[in-house]
Amino acid sequence: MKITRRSALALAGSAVGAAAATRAAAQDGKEVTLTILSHKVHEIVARGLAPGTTGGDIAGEWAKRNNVKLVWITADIDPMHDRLLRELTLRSTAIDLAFVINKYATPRMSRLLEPLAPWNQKEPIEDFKGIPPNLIASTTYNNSLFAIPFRHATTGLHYNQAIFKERGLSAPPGTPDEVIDYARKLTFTRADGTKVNGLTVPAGAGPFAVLSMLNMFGAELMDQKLNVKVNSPEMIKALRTVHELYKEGVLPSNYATLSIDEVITSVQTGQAAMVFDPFARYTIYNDPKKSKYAGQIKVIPIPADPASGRKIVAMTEIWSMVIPKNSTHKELAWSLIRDLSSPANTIRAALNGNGPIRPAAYNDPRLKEKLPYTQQEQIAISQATTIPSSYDASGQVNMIFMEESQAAVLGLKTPEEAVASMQKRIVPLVKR
Amino acid sequence: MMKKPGSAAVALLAPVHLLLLAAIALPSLYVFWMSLNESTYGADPVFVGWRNYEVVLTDPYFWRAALNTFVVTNVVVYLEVAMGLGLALLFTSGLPFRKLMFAAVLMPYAVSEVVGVLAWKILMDPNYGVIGRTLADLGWGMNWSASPVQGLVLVSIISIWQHLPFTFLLLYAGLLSIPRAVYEAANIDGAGPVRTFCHVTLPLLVPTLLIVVIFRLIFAIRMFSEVWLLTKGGPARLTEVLSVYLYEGAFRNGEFGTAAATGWLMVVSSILVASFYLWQMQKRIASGNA
Amino acid sequence: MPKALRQLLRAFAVLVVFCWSAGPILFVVSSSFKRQLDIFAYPPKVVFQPTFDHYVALWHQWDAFLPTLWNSVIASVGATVLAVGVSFLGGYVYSRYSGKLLAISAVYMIAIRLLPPIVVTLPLFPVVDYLGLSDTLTVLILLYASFWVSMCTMIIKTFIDEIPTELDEAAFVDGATHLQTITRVILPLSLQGMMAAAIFVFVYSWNEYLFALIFTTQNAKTAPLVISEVMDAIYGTDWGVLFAGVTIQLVPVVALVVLGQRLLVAGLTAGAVKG
Repeated sequence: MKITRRSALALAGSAVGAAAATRAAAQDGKEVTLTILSHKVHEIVARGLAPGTTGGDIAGEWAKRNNVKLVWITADIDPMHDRLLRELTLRSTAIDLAFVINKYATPRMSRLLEPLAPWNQKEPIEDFKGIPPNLIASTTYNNSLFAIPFRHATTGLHYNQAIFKERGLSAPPGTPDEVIDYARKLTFTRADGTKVNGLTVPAGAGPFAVLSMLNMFGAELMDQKLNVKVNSPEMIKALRTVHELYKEGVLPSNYATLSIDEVITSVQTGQAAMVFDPFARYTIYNDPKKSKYAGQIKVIPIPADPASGRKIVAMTEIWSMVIPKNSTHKELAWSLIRDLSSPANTIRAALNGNGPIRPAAYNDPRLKEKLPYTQQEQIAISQATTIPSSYDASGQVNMIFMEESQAAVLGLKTPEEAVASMQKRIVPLVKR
Repeated sequence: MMKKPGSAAVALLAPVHLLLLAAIALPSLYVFWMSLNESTYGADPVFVGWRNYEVVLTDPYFWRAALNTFVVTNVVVYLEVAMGLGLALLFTSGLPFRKLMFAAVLMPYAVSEVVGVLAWKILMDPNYGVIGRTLADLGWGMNWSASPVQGLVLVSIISIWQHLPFTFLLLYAGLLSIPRAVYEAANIDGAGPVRTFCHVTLPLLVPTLLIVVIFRLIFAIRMFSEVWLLTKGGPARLTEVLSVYLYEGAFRNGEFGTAAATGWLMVVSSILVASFYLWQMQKRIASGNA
Repeated sequence: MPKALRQLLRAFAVLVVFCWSAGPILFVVSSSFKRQLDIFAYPPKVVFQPTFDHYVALWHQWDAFLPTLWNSVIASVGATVLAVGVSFLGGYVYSRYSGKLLAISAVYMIAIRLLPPIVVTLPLFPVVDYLGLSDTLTVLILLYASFWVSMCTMIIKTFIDEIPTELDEAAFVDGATHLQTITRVILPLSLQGMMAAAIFVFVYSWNEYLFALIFTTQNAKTAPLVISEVMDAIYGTDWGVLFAGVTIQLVPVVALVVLGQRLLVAGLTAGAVKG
């Protein structure tokens, strides 16, 4: 790895914190084990495990400097949070550092986590202000910072250029109406009987992808202050349009159960022309080993209704780092969090495939060169919102949204009935 | 005349019951106590009496899930036992490539439920699945994703596929253990194959059938992966079964009181559904005419 | 029915059974040797140039797979031996003794198996941690065995029922002790039932996910945990690698089934003895 001025500075900066941690480690003279609970993706980007990436082993270098042995426990999203919550209730847990996704970061969980503001005061994260305040706000509850953002996954609109050409379309859609219009034009059956769906979305996987799509019409579940906004003309219009698209066969017939995997496969096999999905999916959509259309799948930010005064809409999911209140190596954990959060290491992790939470990272020439989609992603993240989760019943609300929106899209209920019912059921849960 | 259990018998039984007590019975009692409390991660439990049961029993989604579970369980278990018995008879009456076929029939059991369901989901995909696409091209396309009935039909098919090895293996082993002399005697008496089956084979197979049906009912009532991975209980929660209701509705939200109450309600309903068979089994053990 | 027609029907039945049972598995196994592009091709590629890329990728990207596979072997074999062993003793008692209390205990044994395991893990987790059993294969072996002893006991009981009591009595008359009778007379004749029970425990333990997720960290991590990580919600499932892992996982199960087949059919002759 070439040592740039930036990373040299970062090294110097983290050395202060590292010194304190090393003292702790050196006291008993032997290697300390630090256990991290995360999704596999965090280990991959923090250690540079994906083939062809150039960010290097960030966490490994920190561990070496501090004479620490890192143990990663990795599992898929739901199981790893299940495990984390159980660990948090023990008298003392072996988990020293964990990565949590924002939809699980409820007040209930935050109470079991170490407040990080005092740590940040004692040994501040380098250029803490470089992390967007709205992200910090999403990891703060009752004025207490409980997590440091590490990774974002922001939705964009991916489209298959080859199919666009085939259907006589030369440019990506620029407005929501065009998205709908194009989706209809892109729906057809090939000579061999293969059906191509103009539009798809992993609607069975959870509310995030569906809300990203509905967001295009200006519809939202609730605003950032937890005012439930689901019973709106925008939501009714959005659900009605999606219902029509479903009925016409523009959306796949198995819409309601579409998993992320099924959507990926249908894009890779050319059976879906456009998809609402995180930007980072670009890599697998264009992987020549897996995709029939490698190099042909492009991605843009999701266009917004011009009348709304916005150009684009975007929704994002944030992964953040937390320290359990009942962990035993808080000092070391904080040292690693600081290290991973530094501006230089944010760029390195991005080069390893991470979605960098510091907007400044996108200006790095290496990143521009390496990952062509990041410029589009940068535009999207500047406008992105999260589904708020700063209330305990967030899980139930997601479930209600899935149930009612599916009923509206499949035609089991009218959109008006569905949104009225949602509003009625969700409001008391958020207030509670 | 069967012996009454003495100290030797108690010693032989002890290991089984110690394992059950430590790993399941005591935790289950604790779960019962949890069901009388409101509890979640990191909060002290609050005693609420039977309120969790009240919450669950007045929830229409619980009853929908219970109905789905009841129907699917009965269809799956009895169809599967019939198929398993047919298959076992095919094996005992001799068939070509028996060794290969035996391995083939047990194959579905060798992969985890998750992998089995995912393989089926791919095969049934209307766009690229070998079965789903072929059916669609023939005009018999299923839309198990949008239709709750079709969804549950597919769930049942997958469930039978996955557990047929269990049913088959027990019934086959049961058939094999029937002494040959019994058949020879029937033969001498001039009984035809149907008569022999009804009057000789079936009565001797009753103890095995009891075990098969009881345990298969238990597994079917707890069915989770098939539904969770195929439909997640959708569309609009219409294909939920009790386990999915418990997991999605309570457990994932950290509402352990209601989750525990649902768990115990599942225990009670399982006992009710299997009560006839359990009664038969205990009668046999009590009187010793196994 | 003419013989030829019967043969034809039988052959047809065999074909149907084969496709039904093995079809989806053959799809998984053959896909593990296909390029990912071909896995989802329609019409499916029946003839293809096999590739071992996915096995190589499994080896490189999932270096935890092999050690966890070994943990799975220990946990599964351990649980099988423990469960079948204690169930054999229990099954003997349920077969050879009778009484109201015994009958009630049999029902109790089945009834407590009815609570969904995910709920049972709630109180178990802190206890296992307190006992220092977290991340050990011991806890997996104990749990897997416990969850199957009810059924194994009942299965083995039905097989011991088939053994005439005259045989035990003859052994007693010859001066054999209780334990000698069980091991020398009953055990060889109930191998069939034990084999059937063993297959169930092994296969369950081999694929078990929930307990492994909750109770292991690193040292006792089992293969299904790695397999489940290949099915990933962020990068998307790496199907070829997943199917390669599943195919490798199939090997010991197939071996056990082949072995089981021998024991079961050996029972045909044992059946003659019993009569």
